[in-house]
Amino acid sequence: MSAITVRNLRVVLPGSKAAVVDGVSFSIAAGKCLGIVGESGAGKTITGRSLIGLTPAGARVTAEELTVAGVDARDLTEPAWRRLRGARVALVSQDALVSLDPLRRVGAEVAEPLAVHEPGLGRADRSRRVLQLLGQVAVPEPAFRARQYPHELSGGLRQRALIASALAASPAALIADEPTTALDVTVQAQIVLLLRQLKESGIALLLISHDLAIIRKLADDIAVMKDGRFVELQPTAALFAAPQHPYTRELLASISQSLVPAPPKAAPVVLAARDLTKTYGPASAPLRAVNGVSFELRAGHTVGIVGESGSGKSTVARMLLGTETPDSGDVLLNGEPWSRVPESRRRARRGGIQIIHQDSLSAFDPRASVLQILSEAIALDGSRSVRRERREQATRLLELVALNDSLLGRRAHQLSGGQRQRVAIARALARQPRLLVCDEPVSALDAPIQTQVLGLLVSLQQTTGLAMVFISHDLAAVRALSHDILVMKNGIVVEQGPAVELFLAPQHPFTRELLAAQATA
Amino acid sequence: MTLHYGQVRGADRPGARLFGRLGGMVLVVWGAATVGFFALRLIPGDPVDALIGLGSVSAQVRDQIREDWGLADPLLVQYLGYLGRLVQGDLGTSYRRQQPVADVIGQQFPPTVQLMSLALVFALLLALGSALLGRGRRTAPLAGLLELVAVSSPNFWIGLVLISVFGFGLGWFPVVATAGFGALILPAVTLAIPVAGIISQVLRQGLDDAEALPFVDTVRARGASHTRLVLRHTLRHAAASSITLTGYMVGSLLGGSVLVETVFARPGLGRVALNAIVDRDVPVVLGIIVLAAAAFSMVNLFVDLVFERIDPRLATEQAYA
Repeated sequence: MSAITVRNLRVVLPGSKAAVVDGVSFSIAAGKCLGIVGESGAGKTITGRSLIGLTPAGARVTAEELTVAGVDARDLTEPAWRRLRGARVALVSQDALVSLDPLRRVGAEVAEPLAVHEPGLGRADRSRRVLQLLGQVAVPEPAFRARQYPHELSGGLRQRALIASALAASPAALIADEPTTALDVTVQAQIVLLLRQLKESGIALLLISHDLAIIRKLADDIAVMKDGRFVELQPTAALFAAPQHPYTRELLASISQSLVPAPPKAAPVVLAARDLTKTYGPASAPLRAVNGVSFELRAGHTVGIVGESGSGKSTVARMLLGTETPDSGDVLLNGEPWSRVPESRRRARRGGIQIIHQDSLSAFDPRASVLQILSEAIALDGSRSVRRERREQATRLLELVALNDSLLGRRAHQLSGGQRQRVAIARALARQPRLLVCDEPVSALDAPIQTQVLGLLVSLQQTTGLAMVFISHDLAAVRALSHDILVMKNGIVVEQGPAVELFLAPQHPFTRELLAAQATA
Repeated sequence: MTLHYGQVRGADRPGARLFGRLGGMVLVVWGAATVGFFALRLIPGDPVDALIGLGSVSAQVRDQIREDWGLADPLLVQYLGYLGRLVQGDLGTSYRRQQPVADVIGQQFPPTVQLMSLALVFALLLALGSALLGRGRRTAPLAGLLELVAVSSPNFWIGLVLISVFGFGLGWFPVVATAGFGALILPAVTLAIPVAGIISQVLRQGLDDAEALPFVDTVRARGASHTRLVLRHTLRHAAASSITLTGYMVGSLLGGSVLVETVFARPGLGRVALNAIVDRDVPVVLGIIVLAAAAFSMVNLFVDLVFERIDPRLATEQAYA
């Protein structure tokens, strides 16, 4: 019997005529997994949300059939949905740091579905169940973890706790919306394993992800979604063996694609890091965030820094930017001292080094339009330009990043993830930098968009001779762009060398581990 | 890694943090005493006039008084003497009442504390009620309007309205009485209303902000009702932003009590302060300034501690700083 059956599901959001989900049909049997893959905005999340009655307020959901765990879920009232949610169908969403209430203890969060659906359960019984659940999802020391707050747990443990909370009231179906996106590669693999065990224990799993590699490891069937429709729905093996739709083929190509960087040429050294060391914490228990990192970066070249979170990548980035002073060692920018001079002497040279963050949404003033964001950056280079001129310059910047001027009036939250990152790049380019530091610039983007943005960075480098520092936990992205690669672990560079050699013959076990994790992905 | 480090430092340094805060409190009180001391010297006129009141005395007696009260010493000597006595808990002697300032304040302190505490309780209850009920599609504009009226109404006006309606009109509460709980209610409500307006605004905004956080989806996906969502989750987030404000509001309550005690003819610190200012009774004014500074920094210390209880992330974050 199917745990979830959906026939001709349509969802229309308020204030729009077009359906965001347009005639989708599928069913998931107990113990099976359907993966939905597609770009953001394809309607994946809304499809998942309509199975749990959490579509945005005012959305119109219609279907010929919508059966969730044996219940006809068409036109359910809110109280009826509440009886279903958590008890019959549960939701695990992306990034447990924001998906768990940060002000409540992990145990209370895990216990909430029990408190809602089994109010008769005594306090002692409930906490015993919480420990059981945490044990079931392999959280070590469950009694200790239950008393901690979400921010005190690592990303992987948080996600496990979120899953435990979803399982608390023994639902028959689980909707996992990008459950591994915010995690490191190795932790991703562990969560995938956990989800597989759940599936094998009889839960019907709807897995939503932009990452085809993750879906491939879990799903029995895969639906490829684009513009609100399933363009293809096939058993996993068949989809990979014989993709029917051109969009599926494009998706498949994007996971193996590698952008060949331009051949290095003789060029001046833009940035040199010499034996950078940074220690945090009290002298009694020092934490070596970065220990002895050295490299040189020439114009038109890219150096990639890869490692898991906590490996010291971002600390290196901050030292390169001069927002953090190394304890020892030195950064030279264009051959002149950079990290050891006072900020007043750096300020005039700041325009030459720019950064792109992972989350450009929070790097923009939410009230500012794209025009204002870009104008501000243009005005910073000292030239007091008139309004019309600034508009022209902003348009030119957008053209550089392959956007057109129709976006000038939009605010950051009205842009798609890819557009936002392009605007962030345009803003960085406004000051005509010679060096761009990219800290996880594409990690928040869907695979096809990632490829586009990476391609944009490569072509910008070829036309302008930009030097780039590219920081990522994603080996594939680093591989696509970098001429030289540093592999970091616990603040130390465990391996360093030209990209080609590093991939052909990795020396350090950790590099091999990373490569292996990527290969199975 | 970084998280672990935060925990370690957060765990082994709370003692040092508390010590630092107490040091800060001492600084605040010292600063208030110093500024108050010198500012009050700038008031034109001879303190001796304040001491003798309306009677007239010979120049010889005036000099004698000046000598006795130490007013002939250089200003710095007077200041250091004052600080020295302050450290020992001696606030000096009132010019007018010829009794220790500590006694004057001590007698009038309890009625004001009662008034302020009850006002704070009323303010919190009113704010909570208005914030919880005033978030529906129809009730939100109404709540907003009420808040605006509450915030923009001066204390004495509210007091007069309440007296005429509930005192003279309905006769529910005594108009002028100094004893008993009934006599406390109208003044406390008067004092509470503007404060409640501000806290309610911040609380409602906080609830709205919290409801936009991503974890709300998770809570709803567990089948929790809206009531549960607010009471168990978002109210706590909203309280975190309101609690700091509540600390500052205690200062405003102290200021408001001057007006309210006058309107309702109640005894209390506010009236003592008012009279002391009118009479140029410098030691009493200074004593109240010092007391207010001490009380205010104590309340804020308490607020900080509560804040950390509400938002556990803060304890960790502060460890980084």
